[in-house]
Amino acid sequence: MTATFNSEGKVVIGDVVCTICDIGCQLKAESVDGVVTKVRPHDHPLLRKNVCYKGTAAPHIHNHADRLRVPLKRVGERGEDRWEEISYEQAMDEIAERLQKVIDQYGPEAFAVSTSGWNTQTTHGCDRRFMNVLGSPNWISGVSLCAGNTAAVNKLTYGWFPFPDFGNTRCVVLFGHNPRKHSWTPIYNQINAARAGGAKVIVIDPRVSDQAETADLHLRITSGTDAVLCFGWLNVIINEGLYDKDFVENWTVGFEELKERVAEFPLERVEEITGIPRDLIVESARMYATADSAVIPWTPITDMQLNSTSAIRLHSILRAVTGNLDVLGGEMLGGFNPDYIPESKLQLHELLSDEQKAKQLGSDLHPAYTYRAQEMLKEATERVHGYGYADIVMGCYMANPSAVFRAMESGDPYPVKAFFTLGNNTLLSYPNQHRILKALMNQDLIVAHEIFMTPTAMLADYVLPGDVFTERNHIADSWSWSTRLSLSQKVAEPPTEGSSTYQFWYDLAHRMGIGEYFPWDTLEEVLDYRLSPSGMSFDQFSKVAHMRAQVPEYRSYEKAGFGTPSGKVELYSSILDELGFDPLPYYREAPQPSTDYPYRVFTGVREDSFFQTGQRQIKVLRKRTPVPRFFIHPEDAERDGLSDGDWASLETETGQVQAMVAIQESMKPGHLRVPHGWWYPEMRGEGQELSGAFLSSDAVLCPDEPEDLDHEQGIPHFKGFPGRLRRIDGPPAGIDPEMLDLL
Amino acid sequence: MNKEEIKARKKAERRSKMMTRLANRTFSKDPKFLDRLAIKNLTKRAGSAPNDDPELDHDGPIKAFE
Repeated sequence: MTATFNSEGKVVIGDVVCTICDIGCQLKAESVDGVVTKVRPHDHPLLRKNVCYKGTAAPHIHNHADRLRVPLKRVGERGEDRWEEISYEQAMDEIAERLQKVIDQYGPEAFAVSTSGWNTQTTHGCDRRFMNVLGSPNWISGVSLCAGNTAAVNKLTYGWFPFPDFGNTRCVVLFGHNPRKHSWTPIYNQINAARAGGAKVIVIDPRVSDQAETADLHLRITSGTDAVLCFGWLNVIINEGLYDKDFVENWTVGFEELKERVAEFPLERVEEITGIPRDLIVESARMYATADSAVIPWTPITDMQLNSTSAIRLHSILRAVTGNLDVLGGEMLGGFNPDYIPESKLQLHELLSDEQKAKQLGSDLHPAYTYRAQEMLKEATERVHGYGYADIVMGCYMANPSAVFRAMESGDPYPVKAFFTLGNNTLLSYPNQHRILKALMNQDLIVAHEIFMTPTAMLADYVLPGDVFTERNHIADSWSWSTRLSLSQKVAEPPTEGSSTYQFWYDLAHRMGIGEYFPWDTLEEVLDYRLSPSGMSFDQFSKVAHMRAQVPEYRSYEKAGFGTPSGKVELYSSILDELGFDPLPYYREAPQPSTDYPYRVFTGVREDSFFQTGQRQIKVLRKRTPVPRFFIHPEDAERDGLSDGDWASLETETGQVQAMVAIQESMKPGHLRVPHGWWYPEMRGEGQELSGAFLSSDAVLCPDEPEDLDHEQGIPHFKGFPGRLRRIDGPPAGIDPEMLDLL
Repeated sequence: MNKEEIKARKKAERRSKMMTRLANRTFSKDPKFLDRLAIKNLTKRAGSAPNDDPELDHDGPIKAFE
């Protein structure tokens, strides 16, 4: 980090890892006299394209007038948005006392936490550590719908969550994923580089996405049928002998059973369900299987379907049978970074008793990413990776969010009465928002740790101001997913009464008599501890390098096998079998469109201007996307009498929301895309309800009763549930007129 | 996989490992002779032009808590 002086004051320039979205680009940040003034691309040749306009808008976010700077205590009714300012010390004293009261009355399992490590970054596993020491298994996160659950399901098949070797691959398969210049930017750049090096790109997407426009093959799949296409590919690969026979023979179990299951999906059936012509299924399967190397990168689309577990397992199976696991240009099983103590170890899962683990909500019906299933991998994980708990992308020991909200609302199977939310706008982040509201209204204590007031924070008893990435030191390790360490340096000062999430848990632990488990007084001490295997302190690391990549090791499984009970890739999952589920992937049909509900509604769509439910108050970003839009095909618009720019109401059997209509030829007829996470920060004050949280939020639309969920994980079907549109007179009242003028 | 293919694969893997080690040298903040050489080579291949992209710009001044 360099510090100079100019006419305005002390200028500091540092390496930072951006946390405005989940991708973690390393950038450069500048501050003057402790205030961040600029965030720009990194000057390293390999990193300088890894930046989007959300990242360069960081100073607008970090210095925003509405940023929370002082702890707030509720003075009105819950959700009334009336507050008094109190000190951080007072807030923490009261929170500790009230949390202890809940635990004394209902037991530690009555305490639940929802958080997003993407936003808060510096928790260092200490939320789980705190909960494990106290005795609560009820930690939930948005990663249950996005990457974390994929990690947990991948582990069932081969014990780890692999990362694609984009730099050497010859074929990239994108299942609905659409990395572009301002969303998932580094992946976009790596795909472009792979393509420039001759790699083929196959895109599977109902619409003509940015990636689809330039793909070698584009398969316009009917949304929510990814698993069936994978069966179609396996059909071609097995019948034409395109699989890696040596690998299948030596390193997999269950190939014969898989073959039988695949035979249930002849290409005519696959064509009928997916809507993809048979010859294209065959051509794409051959392209994937015969490439010298190939990757199927993680995709948020497969994470959120009724067949999510089967579809994710089928991706894993395709990687394995085509011989693309842990090879050059394939998908790397990196393991724990030997230079950095992983969050998995800091979380202290071994301290949570079996009795408390058994109480984890949702593990009875949907165990895949809960302790119940993941503990079955403990011995194998220890054998292969040296430590039994591998919490990759934070997603491997979670409670089921829908089950937690049901318990919060109804007390069934037991009461949950204290709820903490950190860097997570919970109300809008999971399905069935109406239930989540009831759940939150039924709490004795809610604490929100945030950088802006959100609809969820408005429901809290205490709102604590958090810090942002330019205001703290960190070493990012992608939660053990990728194999590099990236430096992030503090260049600006956080609010005086603000805290990092680590500091929050540390201060709470010391007030609740478990301070001995939190021996590191500062974030830098935590970082020194985590870096200790490298022989460096944080200070030393920050002087030596801004990034360090692990040298790849190929076919690492030859040493100790795969991290599964059999030591092999389990095409037939022994764990799913033992848990009473189908040990092979399968297909379950989702509710279909009807005359009443003619659309396949596809929610969770990411807009370039925002990450999840954030940034709607940041004008430089909001101006790029002033209002939410429903994307539909011209044929559907004509049938429903809708024109581009009309406002419409989207109704499903669960709820209704409003947005502007955007008609696009690129859409597949019958499909309707809904952006994720919309609310209106400008709607505050008397008569406003939770900043319009129920007007346009996609979380209102999707049901989450057990029968609506993926069996193994309890994942909702966000990708293609029935809905209908009708024109309305205009936008909801209260939208910032400046935004409407931009339309 | 025949002998020739195995040989070619091993060669490619060795090259990939070497490239990672070279990349690590380019990430150095206190470059020594070999690090500087690696940076020079990388710059030659990847170019040194800054990322000048008007799409990344935002209007309006950036002041503290405007």
